[in-house]
Amino acid sequence: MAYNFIDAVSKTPFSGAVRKVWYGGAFLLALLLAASAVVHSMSGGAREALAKEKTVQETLVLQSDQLTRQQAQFEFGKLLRQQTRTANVLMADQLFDLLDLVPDDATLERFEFNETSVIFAGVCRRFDAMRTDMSRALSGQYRIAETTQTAQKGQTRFMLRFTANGEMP
Amino acid sequence: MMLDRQSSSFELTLSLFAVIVLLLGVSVWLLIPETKTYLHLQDETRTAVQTTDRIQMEYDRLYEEKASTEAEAAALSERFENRAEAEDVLAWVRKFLNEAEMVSAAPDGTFALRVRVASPAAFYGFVDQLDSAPWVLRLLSPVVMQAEAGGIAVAFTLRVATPAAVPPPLQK
Repeated sequence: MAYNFIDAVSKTPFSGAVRKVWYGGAFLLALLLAASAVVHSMSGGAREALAKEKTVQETLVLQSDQLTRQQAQFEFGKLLRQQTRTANVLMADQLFDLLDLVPDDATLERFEFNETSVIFAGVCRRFDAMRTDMSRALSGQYRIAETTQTAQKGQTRFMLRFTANGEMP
Repeated sequence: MMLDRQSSSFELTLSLFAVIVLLLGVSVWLLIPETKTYLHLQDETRTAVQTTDRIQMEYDRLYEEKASTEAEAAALSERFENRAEAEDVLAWVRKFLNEAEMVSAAPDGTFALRVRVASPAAFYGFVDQLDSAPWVLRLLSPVVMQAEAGGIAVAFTLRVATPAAVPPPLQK
């Protein structure tokens, strides 16, 4: 009968409450686990969305880079063409200005132009005046480096070589 | 009976404590980190979407810019890609200056030419037309004009310009 005493102890009024606490705890635990599972699943979705965004970004960056390169190439080519056109026009203007310095009473036989020197050769009646005028007109860019002249039937056969300022004569 | 009540009350308290600890433990070790991870990912995704929008806008701007200059770019690219053969260059020069001859042609696209003109003005007019050539041509010095019977012989050099080096795009 001593065991009956022990059995009687196990049926206390509080055992039901303890059970309820554990049932409630298990329910709440299940809720927490389910919530965790849901949040974990949502994290997976967010991770996938993030990966997709990164892929889209990489593609867009590559395409933008390609477009930027193409645009840079175009701008570079455009600039090269403009520079070439400007250089051509400047050279034509320079040739015009140089030949315009030759007076009407002179006959030019040879004219050479390059980046560092200009040569005028021909015949002229008033060579000294021509040389002085040309030297004055070109003084900002060129200076006389060489002069040869020979008298010929009332005229002067000449060769005038100018070099750009800063160049060796 | 007194001892039983005390024992059961202790069990209840212990159970409550154990359940609370268990729930707290699950919350702290599982739910809260998962939630933090999710919120962090959500925040990163939001930032990534904004970044994508910004990159997309930049891409659209570049695309529109390219579309607006496409015709000009194609024409310019064609000029640079056109192969300049000596006979083609000479044929083109002869459109403006009949008496033209090729003195030399280098493989790098440099052509030495000799033309005969009535006056220097004809040569200036030709230089103005260089921009209409199917290539990008640059007039190089020296330019030599020699008086000849009834005209002027002009020796000059043309070089076909090619964009040898394209600069890298600007870093953003």
